Amino acid sequence: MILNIKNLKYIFFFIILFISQVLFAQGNRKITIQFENTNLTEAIIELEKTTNFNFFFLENWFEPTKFSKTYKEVKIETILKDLLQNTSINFFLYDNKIILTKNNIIHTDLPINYFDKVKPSENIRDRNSPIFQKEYLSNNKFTDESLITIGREDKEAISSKYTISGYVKSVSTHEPIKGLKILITNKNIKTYTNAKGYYSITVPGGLNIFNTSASGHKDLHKKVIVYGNGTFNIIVQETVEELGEVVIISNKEDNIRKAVVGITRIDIKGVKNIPLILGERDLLKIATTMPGIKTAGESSLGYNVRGGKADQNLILLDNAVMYNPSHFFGIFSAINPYSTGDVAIYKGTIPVEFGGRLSSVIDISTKEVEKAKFSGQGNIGPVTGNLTLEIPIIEDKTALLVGGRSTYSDWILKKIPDESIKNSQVSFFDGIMRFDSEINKKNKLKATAYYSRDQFSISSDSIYKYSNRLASLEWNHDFNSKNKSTFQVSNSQYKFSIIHDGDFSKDFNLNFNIDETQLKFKFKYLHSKKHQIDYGISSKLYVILPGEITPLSNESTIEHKIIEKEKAIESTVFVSDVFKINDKLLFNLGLRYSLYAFLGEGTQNIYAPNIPISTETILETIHYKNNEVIKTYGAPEIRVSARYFITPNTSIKGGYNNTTQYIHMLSGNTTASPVDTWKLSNLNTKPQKSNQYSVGLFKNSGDNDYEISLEGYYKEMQDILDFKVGAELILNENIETELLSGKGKAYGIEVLLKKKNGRLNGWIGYSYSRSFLKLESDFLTNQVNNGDFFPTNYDKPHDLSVIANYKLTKRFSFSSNFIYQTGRPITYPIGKYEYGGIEHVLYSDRNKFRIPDYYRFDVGVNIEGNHKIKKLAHSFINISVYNVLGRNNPYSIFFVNDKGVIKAYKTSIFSIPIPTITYNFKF
Amino acid sequence: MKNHIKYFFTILFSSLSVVSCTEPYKLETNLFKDALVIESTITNELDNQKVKITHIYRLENNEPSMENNAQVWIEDGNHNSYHFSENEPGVYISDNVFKAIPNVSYKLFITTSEGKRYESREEYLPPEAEIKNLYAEKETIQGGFGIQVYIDSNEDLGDAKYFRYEYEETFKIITPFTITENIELVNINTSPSSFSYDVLVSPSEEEKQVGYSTNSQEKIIQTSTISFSENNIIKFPVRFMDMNNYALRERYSILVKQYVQSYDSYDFYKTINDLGSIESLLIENQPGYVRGNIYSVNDNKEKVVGFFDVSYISKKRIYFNYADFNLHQPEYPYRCQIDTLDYTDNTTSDFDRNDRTTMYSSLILKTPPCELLSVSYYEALDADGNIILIPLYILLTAECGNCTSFSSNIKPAFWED
Repeated sequence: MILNIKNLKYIFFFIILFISQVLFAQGNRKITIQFENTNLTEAIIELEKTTNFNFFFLENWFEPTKFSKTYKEVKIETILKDLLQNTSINFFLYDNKIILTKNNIIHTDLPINYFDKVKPSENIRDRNSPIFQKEYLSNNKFTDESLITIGREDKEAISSKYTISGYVKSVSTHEPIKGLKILITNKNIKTYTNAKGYYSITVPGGLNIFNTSASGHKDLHKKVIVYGNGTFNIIVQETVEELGEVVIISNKEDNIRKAVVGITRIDIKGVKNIPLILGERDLLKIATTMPGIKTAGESSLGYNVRGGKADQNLILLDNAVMYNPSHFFGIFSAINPYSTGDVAIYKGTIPVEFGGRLSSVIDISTKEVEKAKFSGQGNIGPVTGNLTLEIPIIEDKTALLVGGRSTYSDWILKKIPDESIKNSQVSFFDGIMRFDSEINKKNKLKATAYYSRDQFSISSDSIYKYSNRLASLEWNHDFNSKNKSTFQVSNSQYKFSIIHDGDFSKDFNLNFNIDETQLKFKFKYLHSKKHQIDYGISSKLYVILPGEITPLSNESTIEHKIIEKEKAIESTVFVSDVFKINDKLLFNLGLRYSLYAFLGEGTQNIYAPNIPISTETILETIHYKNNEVIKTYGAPEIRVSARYFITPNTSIKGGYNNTTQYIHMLSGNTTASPVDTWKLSNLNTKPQKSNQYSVGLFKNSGDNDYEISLEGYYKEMQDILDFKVGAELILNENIETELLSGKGKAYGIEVLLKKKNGRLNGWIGYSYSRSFLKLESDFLTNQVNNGDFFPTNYDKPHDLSVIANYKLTKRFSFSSNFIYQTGRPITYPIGKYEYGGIEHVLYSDRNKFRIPDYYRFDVGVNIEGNHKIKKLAHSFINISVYNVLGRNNPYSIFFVNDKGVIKAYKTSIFSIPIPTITYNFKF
Repeated sequence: MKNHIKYFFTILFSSLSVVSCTEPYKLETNLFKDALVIESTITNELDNQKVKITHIYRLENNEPSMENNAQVWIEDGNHNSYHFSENEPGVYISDNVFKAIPNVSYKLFITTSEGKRYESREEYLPPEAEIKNLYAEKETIQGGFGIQVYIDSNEDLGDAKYFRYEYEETFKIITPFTITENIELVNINTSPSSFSYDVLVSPSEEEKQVGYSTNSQEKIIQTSTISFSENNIIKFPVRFMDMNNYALRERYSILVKQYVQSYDSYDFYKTINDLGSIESLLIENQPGYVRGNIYSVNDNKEKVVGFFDVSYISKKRIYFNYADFNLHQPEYPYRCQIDTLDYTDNTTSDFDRNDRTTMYSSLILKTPPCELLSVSYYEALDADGNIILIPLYILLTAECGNCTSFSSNIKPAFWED
């Protein structure tokens, strides 16, 4: 693009933007180009053609000297630096625009007619009226992206003092910002902007580091080399905290543009305004307000995604599997909100790199650590305290995030004047560390470690503990602009123990432990605009210690018992191609193959065929040697989806998704608990499989402020595990005799309407979904509900969530949630009978009835701290009331046989409005 | 294990009770649908075998209704058919004595009075196993000090792995007072204007002081040797009694019956027993209908409750009392109150002139009515100056003198003193 002089003002405009955004404007694309006997003008035109950069410059800046040069796989900056090294031309990179500027001050070898063209701007220079031209001319030397030079370079005068002045404006509102502190950190000089946003500061020549800080605005950190008096106008961005919006990030148009069907993304920033329960921000709770993601009850563990069981979600924290993302039985999530970047929940088509669970992948990433300056965030709530620090180690290269959260509920319990409660102990904590290092432009390293622990001692004689331990390492390496690689290694451990130490004849310590380690290599090949190929391999080793019980004392009558270790390896290869047929039609074609091997050392029972398996029907027990392959299962998994644009902002998508799951949670209860064990597929337990068909209609309107989506799915599942009534699942050597397996079926329609920006924002999500299970067997005793499909424990057809935030002023914002769900199914006692002289209860068919519907309304208000300049930290207070209506939502209905009279009771967990106040701070 | 967890949750949520709540909920009772309940265990003991057929009953009711006039028979693999006749409502007894023998199949057939047909699966006698020892020891169980009754099985149980126990305890009780006379109120006129009755005292001929009470177990007791390191049962606890249990006061006897079960019958009993404890808060065991081995011939979707069990039985009985364990004699279970009713008590300060109302309420309104401990007479002068005899009735709480008010005065046939 060749400009004439009239277009110069556009250049200036871009430069102003550039000053505030220079950090974000980086072209990382690699270019290969050859110039033969070309002059600079031609070379730049050539560059413009081969890359998607637009160049802004004046043709007559360049000398017609010809040259020949070849660049291979280098960044655009490198090429330009090299091409322009002997000229007076500097360049700015902004998005895909490259703006060339001319410095007429230092260099003497200018084209003859240069001054004629530029002089008009020189003429209007006026120190009292900061205008674009002046800024342009005084800031036009950039030695690197964040280094700014001001004034005419005069080496003799560098030790003198100079005056820098300018104004500070907000990038979005263009309003001047008053009272902003500008600090020259390396010289300890400071000033404030006046009512109109202007400032003036006298600084010594040389390097001055400008820092601005004001509540509600992003801190600015700029290196400025001062050669003389000049102007430095600053444009600051408002921080998201200030906006306080619920931001569901979907990179603006991703929702309509990408082919993936059924993805929910949640950004941590969105969590801030939602009314809290007991003062905790909870990402995963927010997730459950999205259509298709549910929990069985108000404080139950696990998520049911599109009619799947709670164990069918692969929950990843920086690539490492998290087995139990909850504290305190699901009332709190174990994910530290301050260290979390975003959460992506794949419930439709799952990217090929993930697998091993049927229903969803909940991919939680910790946030990239701030490398420029030390910062921290924290909160003090009624139950927990939380502090997260971001510590740069090598500026702009290496940094560390450390976060911790702990409860003081123990202290609260001690205050309750009830003996049984006073002696109780409920405590939990979690800690996270993330280390980020940018070794160089091509290599990045990221390491995460996480630990969470819960401990309960409710009765004085039993202590329950459970913990998650995760560690992961990721190394990103770019081979060239087209080929990138990622290497990941992760390890996760989940364990629980029950220590019973009351009556010494029965005291014991029961342990469960699961450990898994995964290696993954994945590669990205950006073949062309049409094809983007991802491929890789991964391998995972599972080791489960299903249970060990040890007596605590010699008097204990409990015998030491250990259930043999289970070990398996799951290896996968995967490849996918984002295939762009044309601007309208895009395919995402993926294939994954998983090979699973259950390994020795161990024993497996062979059961007599054609009769129900039980300990009676074991024909023989085979012993296998260490690492001997006992059983293998393999399965191809197809993951395909497509997108078609009907109009520029409306797309339809469709997908087909296969998943296989080799690890199963054993829970004989209606809802999951932290002391549920896990089991691997083996000779007698097949992997679970699922096929899902999904379609969706996605539309954005109002400059992407509104998002509307309508999705439908149908899912079939095979070999879903269930359990016989009264199954003994802990410490059972022949666990397969307690298992039933059947088919699952789920379908639903999900509607989501989102308003992303503005004073009033939020979303409305509704889903109608059903989930069924069929436990059929040739043996009547192994049939449930006569082998017909019946609703699962988490089948809640109607689910409506309305989340709304309203920002009244900069300091006050209100938020509210409304949730409505159909009551979950339960099995009801329908009569009594006498057997052996004892009265028993006869139950209905499984899940024939439902508990009453659930609804809840919460409100909250966020009060930002004052906007005073001199203060320790930016803070805000959140006051929320959970369950304002005091709706006595039943968590469960249970039945008690009270001297022959069956009575029904309803348990509610938060049956009254729960107000909480939380103080949050940031520095 | 499950119970621990359950307990844990109960307490956990009571600790959250500041915010959580449990309240009665209206029980849906119109979901009731009739189903047949069939209970039968035939054994290797040569006897009249028994089949009990009842119906399920509503949650708000207390008594099952019996299935009367059904045709009941058992067929064995040797083509023998054993016919059963209704002996008492719902209870069918085999017309002839018979016993289950090994390696022969047994199958139960029922045709109800409505003509519905039911059949069991074929069942076989499980392997034999005996109770070797039945004994009692002093123990502290869950903080309570008392007597624990244990059993040991024979040394090598062979293939017998699943066991169900029934016990029947019988204990002697001697009332602290002896009753020799009966008291009765006759010619009662309760009209408010002329409240009157006559007192009739007659000698008592019935044995009232020594009684024998019999209880059976309150839950299903089972064990299995599957998880045992050795193939026998040692010191399996059957019944625990606190040291203050009055059953130990005089003489106590327990009969323990051991039934060897098949896996399926073990599983059935275990499951219904687990579901019996239906109380839970947060963790809810998945309840459901438990199918046994009896099916409706007409409709295999029909719910039928029960398991036709063929079982090897072994029994043992022991006797003991508190003194055998050097314990203190447990206290008598009832508080004894002695009221002397004086007909000359003309004061109305207690609103009961002559204690007449007290006598009426003690003997007519109270259940069980008080007993007469003794009656004595003293001389007094009436209005005309004649000497008359005034009775002085001494009344006693019934349970302190008459064992039949809470027990039985019939000495069981097996009883050894």
